[in-house]
Amino acid sequence: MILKTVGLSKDFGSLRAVNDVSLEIKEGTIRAVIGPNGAGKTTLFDLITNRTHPTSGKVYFQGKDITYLPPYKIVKLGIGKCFQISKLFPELTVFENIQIACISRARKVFNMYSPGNNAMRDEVLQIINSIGLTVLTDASAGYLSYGDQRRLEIGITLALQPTLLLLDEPTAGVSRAEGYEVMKLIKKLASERALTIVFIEHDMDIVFNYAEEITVMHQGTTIATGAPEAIKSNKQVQSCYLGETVC
Amino acid sequence: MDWVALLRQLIVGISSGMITFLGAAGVSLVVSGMSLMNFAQGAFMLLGAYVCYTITRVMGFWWALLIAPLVVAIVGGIVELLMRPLYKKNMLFQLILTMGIAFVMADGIQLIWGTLVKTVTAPVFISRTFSLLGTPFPTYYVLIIVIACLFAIGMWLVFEKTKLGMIFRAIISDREMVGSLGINVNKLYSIMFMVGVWMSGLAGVLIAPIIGISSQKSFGILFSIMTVIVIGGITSMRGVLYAALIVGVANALGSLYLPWFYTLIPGLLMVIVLILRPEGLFVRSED
Amino acid sequence: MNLKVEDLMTRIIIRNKPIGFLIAGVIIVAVLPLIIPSQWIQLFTQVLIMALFATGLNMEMGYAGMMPLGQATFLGLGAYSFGILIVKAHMSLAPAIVLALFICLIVNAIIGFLCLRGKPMTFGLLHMAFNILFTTIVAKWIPITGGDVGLSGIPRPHIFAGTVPFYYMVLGLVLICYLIISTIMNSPFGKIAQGLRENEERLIFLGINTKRYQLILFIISGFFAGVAGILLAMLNRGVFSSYVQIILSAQAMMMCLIGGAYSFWGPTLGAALIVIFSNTVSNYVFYWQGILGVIMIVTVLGFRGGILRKRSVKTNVPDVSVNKSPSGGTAG
Repeated sequence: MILKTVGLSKDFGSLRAVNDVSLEIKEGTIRAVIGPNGAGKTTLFDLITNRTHPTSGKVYFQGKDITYLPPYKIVKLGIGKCFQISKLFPELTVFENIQIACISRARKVFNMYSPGNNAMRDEVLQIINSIGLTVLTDASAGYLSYGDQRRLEIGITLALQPTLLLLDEPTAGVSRAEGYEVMKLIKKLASERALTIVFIEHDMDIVFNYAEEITVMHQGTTIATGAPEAIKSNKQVQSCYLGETVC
Repeated sequence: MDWVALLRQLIVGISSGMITFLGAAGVSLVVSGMSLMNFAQGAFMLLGAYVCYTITRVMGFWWALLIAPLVVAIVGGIVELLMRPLYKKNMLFQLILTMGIAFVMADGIQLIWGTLVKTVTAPVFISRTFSLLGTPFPTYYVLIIVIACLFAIGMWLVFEKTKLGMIFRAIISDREMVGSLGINVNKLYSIMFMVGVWMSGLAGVLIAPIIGISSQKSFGILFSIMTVIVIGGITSMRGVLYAALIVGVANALGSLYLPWFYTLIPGLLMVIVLILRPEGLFVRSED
Repeated sequence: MNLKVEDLMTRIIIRNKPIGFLIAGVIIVAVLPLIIPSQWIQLFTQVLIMALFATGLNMEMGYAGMMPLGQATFLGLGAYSFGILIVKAHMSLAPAIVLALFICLIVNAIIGFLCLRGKPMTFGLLHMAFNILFTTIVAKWIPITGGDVGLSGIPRPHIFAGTVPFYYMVLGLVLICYLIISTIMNSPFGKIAQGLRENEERLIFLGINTKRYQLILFIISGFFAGVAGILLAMLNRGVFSSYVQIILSAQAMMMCLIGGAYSFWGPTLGAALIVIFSNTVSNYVFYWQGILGVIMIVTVLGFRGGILRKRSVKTNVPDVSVNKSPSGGTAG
């Protein structure tokens, strides 16, 4: 198990956003987390990376308890996270965006003497190439189209060379065609780098095309986990979620 | 130990704490509602004191208590217009802008009222003392406490019971939502800023009779407001109230027992709070 | 029209020939004392010192987007610890400088730690609060700091005691400091600063301990303020309470903003303008503080990039994607 959560819960005031979630994610798999809006998916991701503190429960990464580690340490251990709304450095170029991630990955953050403009150039260019943004190397991130921003977001996260990638709606706000492009890219990179991926997604076509395992959340709890086929035929899932969107 | 002196200092401390609270509550309101740190609050408070001085000479103190805060609020309304282009911009610019306004106001005050220290005389019957346990107590300090408490209750009622208060609370908890409800956010910001500044004007009037009013005091006042905000927790009105009382009392008692040291007490309290509870002393530690 | 001039300056100074411009500039400031009247040299020395102060400040403000609203604390800290060591502790020059710089580093670290304790919003607030606190200490602790009168009798190094030699000494030191600052800001460390300005949370989720990063930047920036403070004390042969006043902090920020906070040389240009302007104007006008306030308001509202603005030129992005929705996004 690369990632394991045990009884993870989060209260916001009187509202229980995440309720007793226990996940086990095997190395090298692609897991989708689905569920209607407000099911607590994003909060779950925030709990895993300790962006918000859990009310109770534990998170284990590669057997290590990471529940109360500060987020930057969790990232350093090898969990990369893409946000639902792209968090980039909008006024910096695509190159610089990736470069900052590379500097962090290479532990050169506190290097104050070597020239920085072309630091780690080869690695940066290679990543830009792999996310297909070579033409836009010198464009400011803030001016990219939404889909390209998603790619850049993924590229930044990949530059950290994570072993586990958390993607919060990688295709949100992107046209369906482009959404498939982004997912193809993710899948390709995942197989190249032996990544484990957990992603939140609303588009059922994408989920059933790309996920190897699916977890369904509803009102803060997980109501089902299993292979796509099993999920499709699960009555409870159909009644509370799939029934509304698919069929 | 001199219990009477202690009691007297306690009253002085609570009253000065209440005054600081009025100024700090205005800052806190503006910060929580508009994410704007108003560094000019000290200058506005000082302006309140000066306007109070002028009105007291012409019409008397009670009119000043009523009018001066309104005058300050109107000035605040004009200043708020200057800030509008910056609301969505880098916060640094907002800070520098309010700092610049503080400088302009300090010198503007000097231009209008001159550099001499001004004193305001409160009406005769409250500037007297009343006697308790055979020793005289200054009535005015008690009056400050009464007025500030009335004000605090009034504010609370406005916040909890009126529509404006409801909108204020809504904008503090979720700004986006209020914008999407079709409420004119610009107008709301204006009102909010003016209310915040009005509070400082009131504080200025109340403090006028007990200090020598001088145009150089605005940053000193600002400092006492800032320490209280840091200690109480920036957006917690209740925390600010408690912090103001603590600082006020500590200051007053300090001046009695540690006269050589007491000017550093607020700063020291602030540092201690920062080390122990960086979010503020009275903020429940939530994420 | 206005834009064109700015563009031209930007191109000359930043883009095309930074080295050529630099050499020309150094030559000009180096021969300056030979041509101008000597009463101006004092003023130009002050420009150099304030330029160092502002450039150090800009590491935090322009590059990293932090809000150091009370930087005069650290200039005053350098000046006062140096002055007190000399005047009150009767130390000789060299050890006093070393010890003063050491004190600067320690106190910087403590204040920086405290300022960074709270939420990002409180940083600027605390920075300023410590400035006012330090002003109070200076004003009240008269036996040590001399109060409003200050401390006088600060010597200059023997061989640089004259006005012109002292100018050259300051010039040399400032250039060395510039070299260090520009090396730091062009290193990987400096790259991260720009990321901090744009999006702190993203940096955290790139595995960077932003608090520690900010603290180190804070200490470096404050250190150069301390150096400037020591030089200023030597220049005026004394330490005065105006070194710690909040108006000096504001002036330093204005130097960065007017000159252009996103460029290396902006603060230097701004320092020259503000120092010369304040020295000429304050001789005639009593209300310098108010005028500075007006300048602050106008600058912030008027031209937010400063004179040496690094324009975002990269707007002409080739269209490769299908979707061209703006960056805001519609994710629900």
